[in-house]
Amino acid sequence: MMAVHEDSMIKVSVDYVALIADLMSKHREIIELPRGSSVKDLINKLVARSNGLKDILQEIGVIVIVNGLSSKSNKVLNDGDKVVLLPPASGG
Amino acid sequence: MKKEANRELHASIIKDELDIRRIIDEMISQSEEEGALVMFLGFVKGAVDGVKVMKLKFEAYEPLASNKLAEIVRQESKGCKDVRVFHRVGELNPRDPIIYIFVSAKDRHTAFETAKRLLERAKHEVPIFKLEVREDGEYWVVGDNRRVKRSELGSEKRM
Repeated sequence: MMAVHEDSMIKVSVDYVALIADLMSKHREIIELPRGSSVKDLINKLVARSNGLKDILQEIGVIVIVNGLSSKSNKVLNDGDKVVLLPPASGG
Repeated sequence: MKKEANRELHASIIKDELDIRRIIDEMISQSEEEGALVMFLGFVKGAVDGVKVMKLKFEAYEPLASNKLAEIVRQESKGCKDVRVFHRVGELNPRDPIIYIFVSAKDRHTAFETAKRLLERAKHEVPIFKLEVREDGEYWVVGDNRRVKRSELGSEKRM
């Protein structure tokens, strides 16, 4: 198996909010991904660690914010990006 | 408060209760050709499906929540002289006010319809999250009515 060169990886910070913070048992973490990874790749990596997140994604849905903007699953992530996972709003 | 072409537009995420009478008096005193003021107040239920509610805990994801609420007010205030929307966060008790919507316009149809649109968008688009503390446990409220029991969250518990 070949070693992955450090430059070929990026680090993004991921904030978990409300119900998702409870689900992941934390509010923030740094995730390492291969350069060129998308939001979908990030979610897949998180889902591989948490069946609970998979259930929530399927049953309720999650809103992904990257650097303050709502983002689609095909958005490519860059080193240092700030990602936030939000559940659907429930104000009022 | 923001003045915009002789209009008053306001959106805030707040902690404390508002003085409703003062705001209504201010809106009416600043009116000219308006003759309608609609106010909506959403408050904490005392029970849900027969189960006593102890508290509602609201958290907002900022600054996104404030920015989104302001955007909704700007987009939905067409034809209205004065629009003010306030959403509370923190721990609220049964019957405490949660969301206040004030709209003044020349006619009642515009005022009612604007208030309705503001309410629906504020509930569904502003990143504010609600934890219901009830006699039978704590529940995250998702969307309009779906509830997820907090003690059942955590990856191990759902596996």
